[in-house]
Amino acid sequence: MKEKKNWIIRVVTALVCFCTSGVAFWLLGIRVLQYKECWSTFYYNSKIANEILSIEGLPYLVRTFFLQFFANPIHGAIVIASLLTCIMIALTITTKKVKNIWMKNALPLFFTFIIGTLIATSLSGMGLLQVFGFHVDPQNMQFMRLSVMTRHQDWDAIISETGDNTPISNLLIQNTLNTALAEKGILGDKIFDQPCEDIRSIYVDVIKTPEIAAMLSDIYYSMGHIAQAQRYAFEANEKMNNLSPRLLQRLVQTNIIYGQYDVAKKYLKWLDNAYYYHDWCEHYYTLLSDNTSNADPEISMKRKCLIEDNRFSGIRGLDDDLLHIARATKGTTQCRTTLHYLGSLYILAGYEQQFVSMIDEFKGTPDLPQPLPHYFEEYYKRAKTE
Amino acid sequence: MRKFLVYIFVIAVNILVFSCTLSEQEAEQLHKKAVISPDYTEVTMPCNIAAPTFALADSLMLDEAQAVFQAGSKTIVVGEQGEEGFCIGIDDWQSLIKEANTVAIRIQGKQNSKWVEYDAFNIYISQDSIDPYLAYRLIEPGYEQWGKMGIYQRNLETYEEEAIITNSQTNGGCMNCHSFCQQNPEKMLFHLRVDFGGTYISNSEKSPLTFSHLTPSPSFVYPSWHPSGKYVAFSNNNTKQLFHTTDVNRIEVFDFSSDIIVYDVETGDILSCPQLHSRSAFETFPSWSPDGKTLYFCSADSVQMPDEYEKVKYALCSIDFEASTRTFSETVDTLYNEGRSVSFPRVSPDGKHLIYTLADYGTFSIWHKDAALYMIDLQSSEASQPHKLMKETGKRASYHSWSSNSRWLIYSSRRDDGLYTRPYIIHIDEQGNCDKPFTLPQKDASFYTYRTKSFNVPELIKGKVSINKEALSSLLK
Repeated sequence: MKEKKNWIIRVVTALVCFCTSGVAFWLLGIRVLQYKECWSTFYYNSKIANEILSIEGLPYLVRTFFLQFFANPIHGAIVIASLLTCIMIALTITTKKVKNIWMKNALPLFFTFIIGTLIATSLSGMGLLQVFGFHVDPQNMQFMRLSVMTRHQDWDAIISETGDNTPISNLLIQNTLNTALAEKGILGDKIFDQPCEDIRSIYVDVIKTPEIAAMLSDIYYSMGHIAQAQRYAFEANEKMNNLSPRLLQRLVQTNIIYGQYDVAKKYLKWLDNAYYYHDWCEHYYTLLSDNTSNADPEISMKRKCLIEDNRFSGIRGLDDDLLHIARATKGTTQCRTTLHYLGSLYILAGYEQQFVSMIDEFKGTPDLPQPLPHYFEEYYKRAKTE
Repeated sequence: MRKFLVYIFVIAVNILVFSCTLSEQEAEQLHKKAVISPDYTEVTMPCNIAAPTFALADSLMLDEAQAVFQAGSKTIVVGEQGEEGFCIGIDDWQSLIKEANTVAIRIQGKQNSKWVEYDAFNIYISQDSIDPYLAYRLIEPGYEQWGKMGIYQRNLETYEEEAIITNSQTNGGCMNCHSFCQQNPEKMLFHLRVDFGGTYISNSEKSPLTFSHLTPSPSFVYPSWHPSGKYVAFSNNNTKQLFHTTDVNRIEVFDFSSDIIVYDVETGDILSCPQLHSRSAFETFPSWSPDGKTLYFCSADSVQMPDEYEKVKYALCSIDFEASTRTFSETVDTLYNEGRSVSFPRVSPDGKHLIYTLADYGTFSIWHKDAALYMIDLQSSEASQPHKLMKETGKRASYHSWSSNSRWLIYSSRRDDGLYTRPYIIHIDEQGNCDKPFTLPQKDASFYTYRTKSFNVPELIKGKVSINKEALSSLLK
C-alpha cells in the first residue's frame, strides 16, 4: 500500500514538474525564445555542425539544438519539459537512498529547478532575474514579440499589441508598428497618433546591431525596395555567421525575385537542413525558374518593384526610389503600401512640394482612393493653401 | 553455442566485405554526357594536387551510382555517397596517375534493377607541378558588416586548410591584401583595418614569421613586392561602394582618387613620381615584372564620381624602374587603352606572359559579370599584337596569381552561382595555350554548397606559412 502511494506521489510529482516547466517555457517561448530562434537554429548537417563548432563552439551548438524547437513554442515547451521531467526522475532514482523524507523529495525538485533555470538563461541569453521577469526592459520584450509577429506578417496582432493608446517613444517599436500600418494601408491615417519627429519613425537607418539590420530588411521589403531589403538581410546574416533561418529565408526570397536562382538554391540547401524549415524550402525549391516564380503572387508582385532604369539605391533619395516602385506597381496592394510609406516620409521630412505632386498623381486611383488618408488630407490641404 | 557465434561472426564479416566491394558493371550505354558538379570533365590537373571529388548533377533518378576510374591497366570503382558524391581517396588517385597521364572516368548507375552508363570523360594529368600551398582570405562577398574572417592556407596536395591569421586575434577587425614576395611563404605582408590598423610585414626569410608594423603607418592597398624584397608598390585609394537597385552586379566599388607609391622596406621612404601620382588620373593595381625593372599599373582619367562611374576605363600602362637609384623613367608605355577597363595585371615568373582582367568599365572587376581574363605574349616581336581572350576561364573571372613555375594560374570566379567566388586553376603552357580549368578540389562534392564565404585573393605559395603567434599577439596589444 505504502509502495503504491509512493508511486502515485512520484507520478504526480513528475506530472507537476512536466506541466510547470512546460507552461514556464511556453511563456518564455512566446516572449523570448521564438525571437532567439530567428537568429540561430540547428542544422542537421555534419559540415554545418563542424563549421559552427569551429566558430562558436559546442555550447552554442547544444543551445541551437534546443532553440530549434521554439520555431513552434508549444513544441519547444514540450521538449524542454520532457527533458526536465526525465532529469527529475533520474535524480529521484539517484537520491533513493537518502533517508530524510523531505530531502528525498525536495532535492530532485530543487536540482531540476536549477537545471531548468540554467537552460532558460542559456537559451534566452538573459540574466537569471530577467528570466523571472525582473529587471526586464518592457520595451525590449515588446520589440521581441513584435519582431516575431513581423516575421509571420501578423500585422493585426502588431496593431493590437501596440494599440493601447500609450504613446510610443521607442523608435524600433514605432518602426515595427508603422510597417504593420503601411501593410494594412492605414499608415496615412495613423502615423501621427504616435509622437513622430522625423523619418526615423519609419526607419532608423543606422545598423547598430544585426537585429536592427534585420528589421530594416523587413521594412524595405515591405516598401518594395528589394535591393535594400537584400542588402540589410545580407549584412545581418553575415554578422550572425550565416546561421539565421529568418534571414536565409529573406535571402532566398530576394534572390528569387532577382532571378538569381543559383544563389537562392545555395541558401535553400543550407536552410533545408533545419527541421522546421523543410516545408518552406520545398515550396521555394519549386520557384527556382521564371515560369514558376512568376506564378507565385508574392514573388511576382515584388518583382514588379525592381526599378527598371538601374541606379544606386537612394542616390536620388529614397523617396525617388519609392516613387518609381509605386509607379511600377500601380493597381496592386504593394503600390498602396509604398504610397503610404512615401506620403508619410514626405510629411515627416517636410517635403511639401513632392507630397502634393505625389497626391496629385495618385489621388482617386484604387491605390489612393478619396477621401485621402486622414493625415495626408490634412497635410495636402495645408500645403495647397500655403 | 560458441561455434554458433563464430558462424554468425564469419557470415557478418562476409556480408560486410562483399557488400562494400564495388565492381565495374556490364551496363547499357545512355549515349549521354554525365553532368557533374564541380565540372571536372576534360580538365587538366597537376600531378601533385588532391583528388577531385564530384557528384552527379543530373542523376536520372538512379537507385545507386558508381564511378569507374581507369588509368593504364588500373581500375578503381568508387560508390556515390549521397550529396558528397564520388570521393576517391588521395592514395587511390595517386596510384592512378602514376599509371598514365589520362584518367578515364565512366559513371554507372542502377535504374530499375538495370545498370546504365554515361559517356566516359577524361581528366588529363600534367607533369607540371603546382606550388603546394594556396593562401586566401575567406570573407562574405561584399557589404559593410562582417562576422568571422581570416587569411587561410590550403595544402593543395591534401585537403587540409588552416588559418594563418583570423580576426579573432585582432578584436574582430577586418584584414585584407595578403601578399607574398615571389610565392615565398617567408616574405609576407597583410593589412589590418579598424583595430590595430595598418600594414604588417615579415621580410626576414625566417620561419616562423615575425611581423613588424610598417612605419609610417600607411593604409595602402593592392601590394606588389619587388622581386628583391626591398620595395613594395602600393596603391593609395579613397574607395567607396554603392548598391545597385537592379543590376546583376549588385555592388559598385569605385575610387574617388587613387595613386601609386613604392615603399622602401628598409628605410621606410615612400617613392613616387608624377606619372604614378597625378591629380588628373586614377592610378592603381601596381604589379612588378619578375626582373623588377618594370612596374605595370592601371590608369584612368579622373571623372566625377559616382555620377560618371561607367565612364571610368582603366588603361594598362608600364613604367621603368631603376632599383639601384630608386628612380622611375619619365615615359609611360601604354599596352592597352581601347575603351574597356583593365585590372590586376600579373606577369608570369618566367616573364613570358602578362594576364590581366578586362571589364566594361570601373575598378572592381570582382563584381562585374562581364569580367574576363586576357593574355599578352610579352616575348612577341609584334608591336601591336592582339591581346588574347582566355575564353577557357569564362566570364566573371577576376583576381589571379601565377604559380612559381609559370605553368599554372589560379583565379577567382563567380561563375558558379554569381555571388560566391571559388578558386579555379588553369594550365598554361610555354606558348600560352590554355587547357580547360578546374575548381580547386575539395574533400567532398558538396563542400562549396555549404561554404558561405568567398575565396578572396588566392595566392599560390611555395610552402607553408608559419607564424610566430606569440610575437604577433604581443604586437597586437
